[in-house]
Amino acid sequence: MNTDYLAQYSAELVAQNADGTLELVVESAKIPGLSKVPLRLGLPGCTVKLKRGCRLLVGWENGDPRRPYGALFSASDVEELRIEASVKISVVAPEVNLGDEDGLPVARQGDIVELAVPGTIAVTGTINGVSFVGNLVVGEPLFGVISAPDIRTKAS
Amino acid sequence: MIDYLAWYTMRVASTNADGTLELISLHPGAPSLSAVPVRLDPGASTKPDAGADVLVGFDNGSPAAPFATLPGGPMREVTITAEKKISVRVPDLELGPDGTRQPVARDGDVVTVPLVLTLPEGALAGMAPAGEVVSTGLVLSDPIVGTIEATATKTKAA
Repeated sequence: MNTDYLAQYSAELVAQNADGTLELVVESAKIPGLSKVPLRLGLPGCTVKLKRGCRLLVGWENGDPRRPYGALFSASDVEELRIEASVKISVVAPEVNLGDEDGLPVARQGDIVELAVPGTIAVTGTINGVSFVGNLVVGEPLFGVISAPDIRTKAS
Repeated sequence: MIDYLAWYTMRVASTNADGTLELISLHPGAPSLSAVPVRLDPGASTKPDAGADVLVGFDNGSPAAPFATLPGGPMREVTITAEKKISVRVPDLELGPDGTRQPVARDGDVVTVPLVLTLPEGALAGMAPAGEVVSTGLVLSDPIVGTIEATATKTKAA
């Protein structure tokens, strides 16, 4: 076994191919440039699009020079990230922020909606088949609940 | 010793109740392994299906200390856990299956309700001539506008 391929080397990302594989220039003179290198990520089901020019580590499965893989880049080098599972993804924490940390609480099935109804509302319609125009007086706000959300994405 | 400095591809035979893996070696330089702990990115966990591939390394190059990591292929379930907080910071975030997504509603977002009322028989009995009252399609001139008031306390979205 060539022990050179037991180490992990720093490499620069020259380009990322449409299939997600990487074109890499390895820092060590021992290792030639590498093409179509797959990424191995520690977040199961995750795929990423990385920034060109970022640095990551290259290792070799089984110490085999024919089987390189890229891994371990900086979080700031991620342009796009996708997590995919065929059955379920759970994000479990007492506080979950989506988008940024200054967001608003999300609405869920059963959450209350308050409708500030004006005291008098113009109404038109028919009564006994005759056109009707009048005013509807509503003394208090109306309350409702969210009843038809996306049943596949849930939040607490 | 040198053999255990490499990371080897192994196939998952099964996942034990404690999350460790039973692994079949795909390389003659490494034996198949039992009860191998899994190391993933912070907070991530999964139960790889039988047949999935993982990489196996050895702490300190010790045959007695294998660990599995960097799983390949599709996953059935993925869980990301943190004791305090998880933040996803990005300008554009999509949740759920492809092709079915809609923007999420948040605390304070505006709700507009275009109302068409159909009142039950007799509801306007005091306002109409004597006899049966049939009212249909009473339309309010303006939609009612309100806000979402009580929502999640733990999950926020921008």
